[in-house]
Amino acid sequence: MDVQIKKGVLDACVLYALSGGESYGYKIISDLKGIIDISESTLYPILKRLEGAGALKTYAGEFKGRLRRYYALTDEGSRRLEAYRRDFNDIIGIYEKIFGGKK
Amino acid sequence: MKYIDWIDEFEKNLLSLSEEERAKAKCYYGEMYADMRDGGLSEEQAVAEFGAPYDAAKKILEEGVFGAQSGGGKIATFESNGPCDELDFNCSLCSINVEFYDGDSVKIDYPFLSPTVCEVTQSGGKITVRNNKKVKWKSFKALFGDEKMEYGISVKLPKDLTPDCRINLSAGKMTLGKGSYGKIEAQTDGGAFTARGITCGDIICATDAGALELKDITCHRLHAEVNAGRLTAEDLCGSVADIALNAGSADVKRADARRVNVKVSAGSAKLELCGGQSNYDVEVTKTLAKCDLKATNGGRERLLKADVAFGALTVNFL
Repeated sequence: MDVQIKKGVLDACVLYALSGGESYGYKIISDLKGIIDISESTLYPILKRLEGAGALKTYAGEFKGRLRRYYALTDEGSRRLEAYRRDFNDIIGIYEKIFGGKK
Repeated sequence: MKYIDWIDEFEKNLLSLSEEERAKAKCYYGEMYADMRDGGLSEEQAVAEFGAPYDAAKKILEEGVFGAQSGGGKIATFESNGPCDELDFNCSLCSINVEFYDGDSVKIDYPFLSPTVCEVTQSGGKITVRNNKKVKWKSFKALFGDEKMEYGISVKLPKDLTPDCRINLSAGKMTLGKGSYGKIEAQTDGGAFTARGITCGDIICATDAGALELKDITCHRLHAEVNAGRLTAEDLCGSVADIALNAGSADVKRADARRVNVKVSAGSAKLELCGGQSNYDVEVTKTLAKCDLKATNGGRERLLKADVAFGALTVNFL
């Protein structure tokens, strides 16, 4: 898959995984299994990028006596997810026109 | 691989990031590891899921999302904060170029992706540049082939600075550009050290197997030592010039110093000395060397001391 397209898809997937509420790294990967394979090493830069862009906010919470970092969507994150949904709809429309029923 | 070994190796590949960013990345993997273990994975399985430490670090560095220390690509820029009076380079297999410019701060462009993961830090007036000493020889071609600029370290100094420079270079190439420096100490194990158009206090340079090239140098004391390899020098001006050759060759043209000490253990040395032969006291110690130099008494205005064990020494007075 083209790197830029893949980047967009991965960002959209992570935003989608957080659209149901706050989550943490391992759970995000688990929730996305069956949708897209995303490794621990791939997820971290995406979280950093989205956080840097203001799409995510993070905080540390206690879990079993240790700290765990939680991630949650910001308004900017929700807006981005909605923008991805519209873009992907457009892409699907283009795909249908170009390839029709062909796979 | 044990988790502790994995995270240690991972951190070593992130040297170009700030301590804070390294801690954050380690924290992320620490939490992930704990969650995986809670999820029933063994230590080996969890570490295997992470992949190679180098690859995990590379993904982080390639993103270029770490603000101050990264440039969003393969080259990061360091900018000094406050005055700088000392530069300390401890690098291997890379090219370093130092020059002066019109700016107010020390600017260093450096690669922050392997194979030459590099770290630039400042402590008071001292700036330290060091890179990953584990660079593999096979990377050499990448460094000195078509991509050399990409992996080079470029240092820009404000014109009003006269910093001391300490250089320890294992292979690679270092060039000190025209300008004023304090004391220069350069040690290369292979590779090349070049200084051109320099005014400085003392310049002490040595190579174990490599090349020293000195051109248009004005200093108090010059000490150039070649254990093997090559010294080429032109237009040297100073109070004292020490040249020591253990093997290899030395070709010095137009050296103007009141006191010249040359020691040839083996190899071949050729010297051109300014000031007129009649003004030199010459002291010669020879063992099995090829050397026509004769001891003379020229009035102590200038002194040439030559100690030649094996090899050859030729001196021409200008």
